[in-house]
Amino acid sequence: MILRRLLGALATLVLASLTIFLALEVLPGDPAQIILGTGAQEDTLAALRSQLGLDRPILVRYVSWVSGMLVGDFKDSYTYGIPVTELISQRIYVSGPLAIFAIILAVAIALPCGVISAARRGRLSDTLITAGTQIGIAIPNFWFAILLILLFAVRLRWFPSGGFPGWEDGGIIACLIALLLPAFALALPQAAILTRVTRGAMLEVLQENYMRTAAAKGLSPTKRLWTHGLQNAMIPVVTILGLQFSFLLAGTIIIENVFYLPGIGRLLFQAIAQRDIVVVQNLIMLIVASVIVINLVVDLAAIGIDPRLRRQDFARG
Amino acid sequence: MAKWLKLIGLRQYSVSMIIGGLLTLLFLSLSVIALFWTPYDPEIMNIAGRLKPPSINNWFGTDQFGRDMFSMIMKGSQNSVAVAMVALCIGMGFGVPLGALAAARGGLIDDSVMRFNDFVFAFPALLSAVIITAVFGPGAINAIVAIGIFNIPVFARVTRAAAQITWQREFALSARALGLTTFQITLRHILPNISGILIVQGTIQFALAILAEAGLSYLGLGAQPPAPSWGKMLFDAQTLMYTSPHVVLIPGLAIAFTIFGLNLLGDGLRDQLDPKTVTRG
Repeated sequence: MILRRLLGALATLVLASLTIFLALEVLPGDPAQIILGTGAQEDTLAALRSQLGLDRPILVRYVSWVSGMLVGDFKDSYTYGIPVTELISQRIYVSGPLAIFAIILAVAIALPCGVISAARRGRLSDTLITAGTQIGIAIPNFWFAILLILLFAVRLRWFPSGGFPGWEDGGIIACLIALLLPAFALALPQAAILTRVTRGAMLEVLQENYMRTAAAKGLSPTKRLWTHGLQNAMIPVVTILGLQFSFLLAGTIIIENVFYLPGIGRLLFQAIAQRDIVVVQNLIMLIVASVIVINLVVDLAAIGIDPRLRRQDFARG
Repeated sequence: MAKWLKLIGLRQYSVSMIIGGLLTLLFLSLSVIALFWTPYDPEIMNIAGRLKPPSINNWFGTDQFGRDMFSMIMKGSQNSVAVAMVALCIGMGFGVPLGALAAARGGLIDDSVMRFNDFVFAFPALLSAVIITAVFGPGAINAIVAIGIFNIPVFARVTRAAAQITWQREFALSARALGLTTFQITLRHILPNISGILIVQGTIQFALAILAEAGLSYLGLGAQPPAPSWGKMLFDAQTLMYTSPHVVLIPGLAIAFTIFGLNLLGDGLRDQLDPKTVTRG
């Protein structure tokens, strides 16, 4: 089962890399022409093409791109003139912590809200939480980000309205403060969806026989809910969390632009504006690969949580 | 409230579904009315009357070029409907047949459809839009195609899951016994039976498409000026939020209310179709 899931993820990765390669390296035309402009001489173009390795057959270029990526050797950016690896390594320390921060916030909000909402079904707290999730899903996260800036940065002046001080220059505290509003903006819609999933999963679990057994055994309601209940409700929650990660990574592209954070998303956005295909190609591959790997890890984690899945054919969703 | 609903013959619908339905109706009628009438021309600039707060003359105020924001919101709703509709058609047009095929045939075909789903799922709409923009340059079509592509695996998945259950029902078996082909059974018995689920999913995807379109035009990857779009309005307003908050608040509220309405409608429709969820609250 685990092997089958691994092979599936590998196949998806290969297919994705082929698509990205064909879409971004073959379709857009001649990168040498893009760099040098339309007025370039034929011999200069040819020289640049051979320097960039564009005169080699497509298959060779694909293999060298993929094998280069596997050992962390990316090509040079057209506009920055430095290896893409270097560009990425500067920015991953902004985007990575931002995404993790957002996921932690989303889980920290969603789990208690979902469990309380399920346990107190039909009461006022349930109604309020459910209404809150509807609003959280409806609000576009970049608009929410602007509202956060308006309130906390402009009116109250508690947080900076954007920018990033850098882990070494600014210190950890200043960096975390700079990331708090963006992470919260990213987390809101995810927390809303996750709350609904947690609530739904908890409602199912609460009707199970083992919950009644736990009650008969004399476990207190709080303990029943948070140990027996939550652990069994976690499987759909963890699966959704994995799926959400791809939306979260896509969301960082927008949110980093709202807050002027020098992360992967902002780099990607600038690369499109400059038509720096090499950077776009590698960044998209990086994002897609992380989505695939994270979903794989989540599926394997679900097996870890629920031993029953080890025998079932869970990969066919 | 329940009594009042009974009076006008809407007893069987939930309050949230009616609110959702009304909001959706408002949104759709705004976009239809904008086809032939808006209070002002949304593209005419009037620098003297710029950044005016909401008033009797300009219900939603004016933007930094003195354009009437209510007219822009109306025209923008049209853009949202158009993008979401086409994206939905792409998603359903490819996704439903794929899902139905996977459920009807099973085996290798089923496996390949699911693999394809996983593959497309790895590309969020925003990323596909980035790729398309990098290749073809920015444009309104990019957003539609990117969101549409992302809708395909969603509908394929839902159709497959629902169709698999329907295939096990007795009427599918008896249709088979009557000598109908797989294609005929799918068309006459399977699809009509799962249409409710598809409509619910359609409402949700419609809302998601509007949200995604707003995000893409905010980044400049969607509708191009001067075509009004809610996401673009938000981007233009961002630097003005310190002095004129209404230019930021109004487009965002328009998006939020539309999505809110569509989601309530979708949830309500789901509850109607599935009595199990009603009793569960």
